[in-house]
Amino acid sequence: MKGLVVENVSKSYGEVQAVNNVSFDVDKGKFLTLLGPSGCGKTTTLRIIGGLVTPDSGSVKILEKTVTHLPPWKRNCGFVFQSFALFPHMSVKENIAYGLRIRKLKKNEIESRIQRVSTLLNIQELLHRKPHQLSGGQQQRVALARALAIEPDILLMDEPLANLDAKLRDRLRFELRDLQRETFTTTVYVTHDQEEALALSDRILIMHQGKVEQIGTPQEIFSQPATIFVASFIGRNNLLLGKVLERRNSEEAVVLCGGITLLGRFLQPLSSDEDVVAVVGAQDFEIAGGEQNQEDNINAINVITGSVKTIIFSGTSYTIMLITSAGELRVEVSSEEFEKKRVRLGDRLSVIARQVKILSAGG
Amino acid sequence: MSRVSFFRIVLLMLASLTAVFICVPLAMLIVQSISPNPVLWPKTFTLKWYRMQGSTIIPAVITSISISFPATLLAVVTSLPLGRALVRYDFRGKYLIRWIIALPIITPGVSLGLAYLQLANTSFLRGVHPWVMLVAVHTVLVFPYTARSILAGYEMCNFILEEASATLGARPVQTYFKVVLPILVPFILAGAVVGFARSMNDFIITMFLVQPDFIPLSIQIYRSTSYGTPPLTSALATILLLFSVTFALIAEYTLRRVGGQ
Repeated sequence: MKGLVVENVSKSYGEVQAVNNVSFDVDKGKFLTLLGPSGCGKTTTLRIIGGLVTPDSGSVKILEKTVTHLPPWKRNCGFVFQSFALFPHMSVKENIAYGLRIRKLKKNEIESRIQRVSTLLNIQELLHRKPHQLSGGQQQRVALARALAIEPDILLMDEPLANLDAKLRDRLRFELRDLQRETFTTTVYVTHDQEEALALSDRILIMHQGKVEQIGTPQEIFSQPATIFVASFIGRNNLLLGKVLERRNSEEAVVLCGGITLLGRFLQPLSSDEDVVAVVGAQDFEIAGGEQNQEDNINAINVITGSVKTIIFSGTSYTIMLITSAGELRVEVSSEEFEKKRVRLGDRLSVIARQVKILSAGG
Repeated sequence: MSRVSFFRIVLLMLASLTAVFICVPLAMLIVQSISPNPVLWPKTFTLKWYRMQGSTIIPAVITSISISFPATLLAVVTSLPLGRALVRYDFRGKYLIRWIIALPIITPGVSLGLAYLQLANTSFLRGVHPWVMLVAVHTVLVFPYTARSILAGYEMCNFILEEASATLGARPVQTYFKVVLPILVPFILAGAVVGFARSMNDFIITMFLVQPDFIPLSIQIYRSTSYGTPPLTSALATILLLFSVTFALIAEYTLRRVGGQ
C-alpha cells in the first residue's frame, strides 16, 4: 500500500516556479528524503503534502485518499518544523496533549499516549517544564513527540536537525532512524545535508530548481548519479568535461578530458561524438607507485599527474588539491597511504582513478 | 581617575535634581491633602478633606470608571482584529494605517476636544447622553496604546505556531483561542492598563464634552479649585495620582513578565 502519492504537483509564486511537475510516491512505513540545495522547492513540496500550501495543479494522496484540497486540520499529518514551533505558554505535557485534546480523546487515552511517546523519546523528566526551559535538542524531541502523539498517517519533517549543534545532530540522526523503524510511520524528510539523507532514508529524491533530478536508494544515488547536478551535489566528486575517444563495449568507453585519458563506465546511453562529463569521486583515487615509473605513467590510462596545491588533514584521511591539465582535482587518501607516500606541498604527484563514471554533458 | 569621579558627581547631582524636580511637587500635593490648613509643612495631619469630599469623590470616581472601563474594553476588542490584519496580511495602505494608529497621541487635545464637541452639537449625536459620547471619544484615546501593544504581541506570536496548531488538527478558531490569544494576554493587559490610566487622567478633551450632571474625576479636581480651599483640591488630585501610579506599576509588572518569557 502506498503511504503517499504525489502526482504532477506544481506551484509557482509570481514568476518563480517553486515546484515544477513533481511526482513520487512512498510505500507505507518507509522513509523518503527530499534533498536539494536551498530554494530547490523541497520545503514547498513538503508544505503541499501537509496542506500548508495549496498546489496550482496536481494531486496528493495519503493512504490512497485524495487530500489535495483538504485543509491541514483534516489531514492527520504530523509536522515537525525547523524552528520546533512549540507553544510557549504550554508545558511540554500540554504541548504533546494538544492534538489529542483537539481530537477529544478520553482522559486516560491521552495520558497513556503521552506516556508512550515521552518514553519513546526519552523526555519523561521534562513533561512539566515550559519550552523556554529546554535545550534545542530537548525542544526538538518534544516537537517530535507532539507530532507522533496524534498517530499521524504520515510524518513530515522540515530540516528538524538544522538548528542543532553538530554532535547533537549526529546523535539525533541515529535516534530518528530507530524511531522511524520502530513506529513504522511513513515519513517524508526535508534536508540539504546529504550525510543526513544518506544515513536516514530508504529512498532519496533529489530536487533542483523545482524539478525532480533523481529518485533512488542512497546507494543508487551515491554510485549512479543520473544527472550532472546529482553528481556534483552528492558525494565529493570531480567533474571533468571531455569527449569520447573510443567505445570499448556497450558499457565502457575511453574519454579524453583536458589531456587526460580515462576509461570509465557510462551510466546512460551515449552517442559517440557527444560531449561528456567524467565523474571521479574524491575517494576513488590511489597514489601512483614510486619515482622510477612516474615517467611511464604520464600517458597511461586513468593516471592523472599534477602539482600539489593544498593539503588538508581531516582525522582519518587527507584531502589533496591537485592542479592538473584538466583543472583542479580533489583527491582523498587515507592517512596511512598519505604518510607512506610522503606527499609534500608543491610536489609533482600522480594518482590513479580507480573508478570513472561517464555522463552525457547535456544531462 | 579623579576626572572620572568628578563627572560622576556632576551626573549624580543632575540626576538627583531631576528626580527632586519631579517628586517634590507631588510630595507637596500629598502633604497638602492631609494638612488641616494650607501651610507648607503642617504640624498635624488630618483626613478631613477626604471625608469632606466624600460626596463628590465617589460619584466622580464612579463616573470616571464608567467612561474609562468600557472605552478600554472597546479599544482592546477593536485592536485585536486590526493587529492581526496588520501583521498577518499584506495590503495597500498598511503602513499608513500603522501611522494613523499613533495619531490620537500626537493630536493636540484642544483640537480633538473641539472637533468632537462640534460633532456632538451639529450631527445626529446632539441629543445623546454625554456618557455615550465620552465613551466613544475615550475609546479613540485608549486605542493607540492597546493597538500598539497588541501589534507587538502579534509580531511575537510566530505564524509557524498557528501552522503547527493546524497540522495538529485545530481549526483556525480553535487555534486563535488556544494558541494566539493566550500568547497575546500579557500584551493586551499591558496596553489596556496604560490606556485605562490615560483615559482616567484625560482632562482637555473630556472638558469639552462634560455636562453638569456627569463629571469625571479629572474635571471635578479642576472645579474644586473654585471653592478656594487648596487642600480639598489636593485630596482629589492625590486620588487621581494613586490611580495612575497603581496602573503604571501593574503595566510595568505585566511587561516584565512578558520580557521574562
